[in-house]
Amino acid sequence: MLQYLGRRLVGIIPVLLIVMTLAFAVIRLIPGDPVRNIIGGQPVSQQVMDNLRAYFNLDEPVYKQYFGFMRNAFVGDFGISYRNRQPVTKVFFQQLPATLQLAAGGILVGILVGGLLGIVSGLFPDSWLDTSFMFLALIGVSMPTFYSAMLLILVFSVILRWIPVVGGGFMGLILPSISSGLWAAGNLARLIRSAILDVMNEDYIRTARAKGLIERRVVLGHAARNASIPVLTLMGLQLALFFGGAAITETVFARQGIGKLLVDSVLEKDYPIVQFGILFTTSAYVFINLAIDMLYAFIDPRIRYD
Amino acid sequence: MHRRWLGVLLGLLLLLTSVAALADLTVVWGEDRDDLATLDPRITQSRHELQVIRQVFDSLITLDDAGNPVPWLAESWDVAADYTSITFHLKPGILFHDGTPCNADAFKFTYDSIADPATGSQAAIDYLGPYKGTVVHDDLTFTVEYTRPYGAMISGFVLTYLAPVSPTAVQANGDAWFAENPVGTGPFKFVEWVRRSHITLVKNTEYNWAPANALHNGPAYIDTLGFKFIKENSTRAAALETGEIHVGDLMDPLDVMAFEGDDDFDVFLGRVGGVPVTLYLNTSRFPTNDRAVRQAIFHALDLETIVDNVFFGYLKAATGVLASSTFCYWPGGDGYYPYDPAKAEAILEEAGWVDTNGNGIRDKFGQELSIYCPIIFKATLMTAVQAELRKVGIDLNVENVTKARQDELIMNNEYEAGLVRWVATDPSVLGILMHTDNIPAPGYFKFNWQHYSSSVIDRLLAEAESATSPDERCSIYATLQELVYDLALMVPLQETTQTVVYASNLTGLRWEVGNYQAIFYDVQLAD
Repeated sequence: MLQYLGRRLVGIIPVLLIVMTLAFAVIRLIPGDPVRNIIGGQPVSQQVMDNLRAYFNLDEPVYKQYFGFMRNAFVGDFGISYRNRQPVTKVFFQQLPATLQLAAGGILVGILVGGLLGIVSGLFPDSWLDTSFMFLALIGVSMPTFYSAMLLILVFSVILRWIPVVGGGFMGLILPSISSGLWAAGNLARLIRSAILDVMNEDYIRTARAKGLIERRVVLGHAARNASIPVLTLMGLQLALFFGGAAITETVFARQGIGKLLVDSVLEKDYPIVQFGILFTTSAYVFINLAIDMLYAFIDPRIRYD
Repeated sequence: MHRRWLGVLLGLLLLLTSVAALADLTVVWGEDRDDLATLDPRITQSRHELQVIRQVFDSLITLDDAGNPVPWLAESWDVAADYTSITFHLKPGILFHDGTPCNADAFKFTYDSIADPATGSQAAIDYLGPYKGTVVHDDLTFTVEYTRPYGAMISGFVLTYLAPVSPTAVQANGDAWFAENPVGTGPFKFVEWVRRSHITLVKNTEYNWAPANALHNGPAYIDTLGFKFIKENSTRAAALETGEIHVGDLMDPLDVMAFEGDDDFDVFLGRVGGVPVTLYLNTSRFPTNDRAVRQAIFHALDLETIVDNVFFGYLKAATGVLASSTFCYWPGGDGYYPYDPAKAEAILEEAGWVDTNGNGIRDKFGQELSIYCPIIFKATLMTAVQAELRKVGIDLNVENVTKARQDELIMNNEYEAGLVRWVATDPSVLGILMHTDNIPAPGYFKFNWQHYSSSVIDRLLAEAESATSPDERCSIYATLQELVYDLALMVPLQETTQTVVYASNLTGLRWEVGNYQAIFYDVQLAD
């Protein structure tokens, strides 16, 4: 097990190196001049342009910029943002807490709502409850985030005045969590329902019932545990998705977050931010996947890594 | 156990302080951009950043509503007869927010650092002009010297860009720190900036050097001034409605319409100075190299109706190369080419543009009258313009592109028309759009998009810059504006308008001449 973990960790290194190289190359392949974007279309003299190019080392040949980037990244220096002139890691980690809060909120909404709808639907297939819950789940997966976000603001903020539109703290997290968690909830509900339906027909469920277990123990102890493997996979992907930020939710609710930061940085050709952002989100995917793989072994003792 | 009680205590404390904060008089501005980069006036080039910076920093001079310069930090000033220098006499006792005196040395430091390439100034350096240096005579007197006559100097000193920064703060902490922790002399002191969320300022209780045109002197009336970044138009409108913000900037015309009927809100429409939203026509490419085509476009457009329909009557059709509120605006453009589609067709027929293949688009020499126009904003307006031109047989091929793609097309001269707008207070902005040196070229993104090289225009621009009286400047700029109208190098479409909605219990909001940025110094909030 530990050996396997070690092998996986070593395997991550080339992945990250390749991703860094790709990130460096791709952002430079998009046409446009970063210095032009810093100026933002204002009229400036050639002198201003030259000064800025030198300031950000953009006057160096590309191969020099590349080796400089890789060498500095190795010691944790990812350069300064073209737009903010602040260290990239500082700019990025300023936005990260808001993203993590929204990720937690969204996943929580996803698990609570999706779990409830999915388990009930799975246990009572083809009932009216199942039909209406699956209809709700369908709405969850199909409604665009910007639309659900605006509806939530209209109902809970403007009409009912329960929750501030752009408030901070816990109150400010409620509507964005619902809005971004709806999609996860819909997906989870559908997946959990089918997983439970599959599991409930297995032999070991019949055995569990035959040995006289009460239904609650059958469902929670046997069915839920076995149904959780595909659910866990989906939740891992979902969580990694949240780590990349939720640009639309962040925009509509005027929240901080790395989603908007990355979108803006790509448009503004803020190379250092984009490079670090891609590295960070890739790492999030890689490590969350690894963690989920490890969790499999705990949930299902039959899964062994040698 | 201990820690839990500490948590409860902290929570209570937080609750108490937030209640206390509510008791303060707070005004919040809803800002439509959320990615401000710097609050250093020497470095910024963004009007969104200036909106905040204006409250924290003061200028030497400002303009009254009639556009005349009046004293602010400077008690008086003398411009040298040959326009190669200007001497300022400061008000005594001005202090930066860090308690250090704002004296002649501070101005020398500010201007020297703007001129220093290492600072990386994005706009201030250009407004400083042909700067030679600053000579300090005594604590309150200094002279700014230029390498050549510079007639537009006053128009630079009224701008926020050239506001003095605290030398002590910059030298002790560096430019990067200062960009996030601005220290000026203004009526509001910087407190915090949570990136992509909000900025908080508090009133400067020491303040007693208000500009001559302010409504009062002494500290500001409101205690706290907040800037909440809300990019989404409808969210900004919702926050205004729930009272979370008091002023909403750049509101959507549809929202403006909804708020206008509401007694709790007032609407402000500021016609911004500079260059209106204008269609620049490329004279170096077929078919816009034909003056007849360019003039026909003017005659074919019923701009008043188009702008009225597209923006629900809140915006105004442009009537000149310069926006109507700009200094030296030449009114002769209004009606120079009246709306007359029959005349447009006649001009085109006479120049040989006929629809020979019956596809509804005129052609000549076997080539269609098709004009490629990449744009990055104003898609709705351009769709309406496209439809109008189609009626007289002109195909305006509008394509929505990214900024990077647009810049590439412009630099490689692969377009026939492009959309430009400019916020400025001074007519010298025309040089950026008209001078031969500013024709774009591969690797050089510049703004003479009409690709028109003219020694006459260049000479007029140079004469205007070194003109020694405002009347002389304006008469030169009038000649220039009439000339480019006659050549039909561009078609002005719509005046840039600041659409602001604010709570009607808020009074004393003033607007800077030219760019219509809000000034919160005199603002009061009734119950």
